[in-house]
Amino acid sequence: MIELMTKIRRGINALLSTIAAIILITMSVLVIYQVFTRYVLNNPADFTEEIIRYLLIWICFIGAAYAFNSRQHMALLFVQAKMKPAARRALVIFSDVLVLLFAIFVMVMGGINLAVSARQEFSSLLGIPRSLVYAMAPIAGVFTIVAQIINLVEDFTGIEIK
Amino acid sequence: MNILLSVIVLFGIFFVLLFLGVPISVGIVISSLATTLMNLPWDQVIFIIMQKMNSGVESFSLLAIPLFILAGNIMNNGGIARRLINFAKLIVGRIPGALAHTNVLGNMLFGALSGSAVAAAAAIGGTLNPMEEEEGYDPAFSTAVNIASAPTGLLIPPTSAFIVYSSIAGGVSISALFMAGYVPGILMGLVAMVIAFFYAKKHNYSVTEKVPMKDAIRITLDALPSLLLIVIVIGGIVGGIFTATEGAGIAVLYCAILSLIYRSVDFKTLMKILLDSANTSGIILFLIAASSAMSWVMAYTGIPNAISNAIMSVSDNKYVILLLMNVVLLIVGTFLDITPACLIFTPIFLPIVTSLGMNLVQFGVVLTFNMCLGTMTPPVGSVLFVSCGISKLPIEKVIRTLIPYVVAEIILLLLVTYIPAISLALPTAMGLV
Amino acid sequence: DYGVTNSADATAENPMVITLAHNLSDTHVTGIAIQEFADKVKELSDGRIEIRIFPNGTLGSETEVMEQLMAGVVDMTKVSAPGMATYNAGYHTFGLPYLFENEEQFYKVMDSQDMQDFFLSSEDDGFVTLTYYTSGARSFYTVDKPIRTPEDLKGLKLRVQDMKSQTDMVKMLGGTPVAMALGDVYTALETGIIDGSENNETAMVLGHGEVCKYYSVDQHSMIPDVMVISTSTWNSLTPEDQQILLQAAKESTADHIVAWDKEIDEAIETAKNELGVTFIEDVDKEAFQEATASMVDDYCAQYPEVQEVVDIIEANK
Ligand code: NA
Ligand code: NA
Repeated sequence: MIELMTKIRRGINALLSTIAAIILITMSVLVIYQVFTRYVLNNPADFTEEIIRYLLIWICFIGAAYAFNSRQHMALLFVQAKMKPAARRALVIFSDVLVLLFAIFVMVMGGINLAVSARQEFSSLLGIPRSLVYAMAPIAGVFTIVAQIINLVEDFTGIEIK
Repeated sequence: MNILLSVIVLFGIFFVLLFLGVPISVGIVISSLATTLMNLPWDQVIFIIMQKMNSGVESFSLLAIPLFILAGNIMNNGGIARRLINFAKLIVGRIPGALAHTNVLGNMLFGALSGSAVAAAAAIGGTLNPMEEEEGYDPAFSTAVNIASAPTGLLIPPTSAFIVYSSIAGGVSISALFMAGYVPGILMGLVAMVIAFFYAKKHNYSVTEKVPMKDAIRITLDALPSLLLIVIVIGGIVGGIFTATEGAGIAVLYCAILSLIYRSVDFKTLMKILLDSANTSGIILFLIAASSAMSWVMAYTGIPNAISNAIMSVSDNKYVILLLMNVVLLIVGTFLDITPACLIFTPIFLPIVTSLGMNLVQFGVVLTFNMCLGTMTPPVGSVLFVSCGISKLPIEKVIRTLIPYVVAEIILLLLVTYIPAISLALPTAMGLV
Repeated sequence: DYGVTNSADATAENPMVITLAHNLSDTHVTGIAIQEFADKVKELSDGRIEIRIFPNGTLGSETEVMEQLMAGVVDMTKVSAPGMATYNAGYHTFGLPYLFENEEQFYKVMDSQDMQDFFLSSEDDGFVTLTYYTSGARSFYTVDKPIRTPEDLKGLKLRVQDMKSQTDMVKMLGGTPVAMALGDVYTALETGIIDGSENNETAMVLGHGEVCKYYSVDQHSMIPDVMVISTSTWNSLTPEDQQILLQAAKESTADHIVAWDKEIDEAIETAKNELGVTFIEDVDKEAFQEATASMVDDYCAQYPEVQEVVDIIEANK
């Protein structure tokens, strides 16, 4: 059980951080290419901005899911730190349940809701479906749900799953 | 609609969740969601939250944030920090407490290249603090100096704080903001140096040995390519050759090439840099996404206007209102990080600032200055944490030594607030405001 | 709170609140017209219906607010007409070049009964249009190059609104279209990322005239704004209250036309005298019209709904 979860956690970490890193490289290359086409080719690329805007959405949600999986999101922990172990554990569980609910109801359900509502919309230059852009939030939401379940198992068993 | 109730629900839930240790981004979303639920049905609430979270980061100019993070991380690993330190030592090495002054100047130079105070604290302080301890400096002193000067990089351009502010404040010129940050940022560094000077003099701290001319030239030449980046990126942005976002891309390219030439980054390090940068970017962008959901809720419930009316009703004296805003921001800065604080409070204060006739560029500087102080103060201060982590000192030990620096910088903040010229003279001279 | 959900239940004490979001300032001519519409609705309904306006784009961009309207989050909005094409392809028509020969013709067509019927015909698409507000005639303006023929646009990077019809048009004229938000245009012009843009004359006094010194009056399109309401909100109004909204909208449009003309005259005056903008009047409009003529046919072939609106325009010219 714990071994399986360790495997899943490592798998998610590797997958999401690799995708995020690839997106980061792509965005860097695109923006440099944009300057290059303007000054060197004197014929500015018009597609870069649209793609970069969508990639920002993607890296945002993928990066967020990764950070839930590795418990890296910014949080104010000094109150927790001052508490007795039992109370601290209760707070950690509360926090992790809240994130789980957030992932289920906002990221996945809200995200699907939004993606479906935008099915008629396409970007004006490349014709990229808006639903595709919006799809990353629910996908990242699914990864976050898995991550939070593992986090909660960690909270309840007290065994660190890395 | 009952605005007071909305304010209580929104901020009440947010602060309760914040102190309970819920991730800040999730706390922002849940408090926004609860407030919207008072007016709209569930399916519409999750729709609007998701829509704003998506559109909140769908802005070309925000790309500058991940790019400056990436550039900063490359610099941090790429031998650039070390060259800047050698150069800084060359300049301020003859002043008592030489290594502390080197730390300040190093932070300022590093800050002029990167937009991250934490990266500066780690790269410059991380190298200098052990050397200072060897020289017999009080570790609390050297840590305090590092803390007090690392945030200069948030004011000295390039800085993503201004990019975030400009994107919320509705197209305040990034070039003007960049120029406006120089003087306050440099003054912040000088304040730290002045206080360090008196402390060092009192404790008879050493100066570094005089550097022979030949070495001085070599050190300068060695640092020149790094310093040239300042000219290329800032010159390019302010000179209108490229946008701030494109400037960030150029910075990445330049740092990558420099690291390649210095052969300081191997493939493994490069992968680590990329992963780290992507993760940090994801966390910050997610905070921005969450905050834009909160901004929507505030606009929908009319909170910004209500709060600004309330502040305006306390006094109609411009100086009192400005003081009040600073007090609120300083308190906020103690427990919120720069990005969320900037995202949440810009829409609230903008109506006041506009009605006071204050220049939005100057306000951007004042806001960021407050946030710089916030990074140094407990309970939550990223620079404080990182610097104490480097010197392995408990926070309580450093605070006492840090107090004079914070007090002096608060006085400087008031000067920046009440004397527009400190921030606006430079951009005005360049015709940017 | 947002009051009752059906106008039949609304009273002056407990009114029905209709939310209206738009991205103009409340001092903009069209922003003022929308406020006037809200005031008239309140007056005509004896305070039973209140229009709550969210100006300045605080709730989001045009596209976002349209999505919000479709989801039921907001009730009404003002958008540039082709923006509605996502939901009703007929609205592509308003982005097409040279549909009207002059302003009189434009007003005649837009005020016709056929157009009113078209405006109210989209209930099944989730919205209906209450009225239009003119946004003048759009022309190209550039930093340093007068435009007299389509050849002059060759190799120029021109900002257009983020709509397919607009990128298509600039491509047909030989320019390179760059879709970007209005807020980014000034910096883009200043930094040479774009060479020019296209808009009505007010753009010159709203900052762009500081950089662009040539406004070439080619008047390639007249793209009206439309004020729309979601079908669900529309159907929660009694027929009498629907008439009240329509009447208030119509009156605000009539007043807006007068205010708009004055605004344009002042803008031209300021641009010429204070900003030193040269207005190029001897544009070869026919050449522009010829270069883009096939666009109307292409759109008609692609979207039968566009053909219907074009027919309405032709019949009422
Ligand atoms: Na900086
Ligand atoms: Na703090």
